Amino acid sequence: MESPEKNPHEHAVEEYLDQLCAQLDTLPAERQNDIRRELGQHLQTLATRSHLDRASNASALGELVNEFGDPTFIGQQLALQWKRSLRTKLTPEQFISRCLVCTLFSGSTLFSSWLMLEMCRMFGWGHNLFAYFVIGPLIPLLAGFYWGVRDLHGLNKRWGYLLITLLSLSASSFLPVPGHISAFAAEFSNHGLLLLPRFGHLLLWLWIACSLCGAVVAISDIKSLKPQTT
Amino acid sequence: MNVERELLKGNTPTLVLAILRDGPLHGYAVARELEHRTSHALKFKDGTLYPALHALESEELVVSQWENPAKGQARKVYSITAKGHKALEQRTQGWLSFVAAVDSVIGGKSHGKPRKESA
Repeated sequence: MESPEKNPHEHAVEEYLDQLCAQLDTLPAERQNDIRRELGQHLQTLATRSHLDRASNASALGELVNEFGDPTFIGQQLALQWKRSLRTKLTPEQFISRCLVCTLFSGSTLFSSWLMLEMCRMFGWGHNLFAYFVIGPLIPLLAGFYWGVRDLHGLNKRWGYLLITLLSLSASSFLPVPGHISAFAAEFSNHGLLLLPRFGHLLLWLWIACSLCGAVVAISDIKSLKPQTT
Repeated sequence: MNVERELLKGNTPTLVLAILRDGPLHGYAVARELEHRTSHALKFKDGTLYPALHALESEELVVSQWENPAKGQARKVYSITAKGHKALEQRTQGWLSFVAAVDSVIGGKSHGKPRKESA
């Protein structure tokens, strides 16, 4: 985004807009551009009025945050507002497609959870209820449900993925490597194969959390839906 | 002050509608007009106006359009609609009733009922 001809305050405006628009990723590109253009002009006027062309990039950005507000918060509010406005404009076709999406996500959640339990059984991990709680699909199910309900803090955020990854790696580090995989790794002198169960565990957890998050978001959309009558 | 902030947050759409009643304006001008009319008494961040403006637009209380002046940059200008005028009237009535009710409590005006005297 940055070009060498830009003043520090223009960089600050761009940086501010980048932070704000990062929250608008669920909006159509045309709408994002419209918001960026509108808010960009307001910010440019603020920057000119406050003589930020003489300020450094950091202090200009600080001044914009002070005058205009926290970019993340405002971006979230705009995204929320867009979502609310969308709910009143859904057509019956969109309603049906959302029901279909919801069914697919729910089916995916059930299948991945079953696969997770099968994996636990196959590798001999879930030898008691506590083990199933820590290793099985319960944690990603809870995480997916929580992020789906919170919506704005969904798994599309980097920290969501990171948290699930850290939890999965921590949980699977305590798991014994199944005998046949150890034998296979020894036979081929490839210790990387020992990581396969951990990798599978991580993938399944991400799958479960993402699919449930999607299902909850789709259900909440349908619940608050007001299909057009005209 | 939190009470002031909450009151402002709840009434921002009404304030915006009241400002747009006097003529179409872009977001920056709405913010400055709000500051000017309140003599800077209400502290708010300019950015918080936009979710309110977009909400009013989705409720069809205001409409927006990009205007390209001969001089200067294009601006997105908001105008109040007939539905917006009606909504403003209702909100103003609601606010006046609320203020009168709060004022009568704070001012200590009696309801006319006799107080229970303790023995």
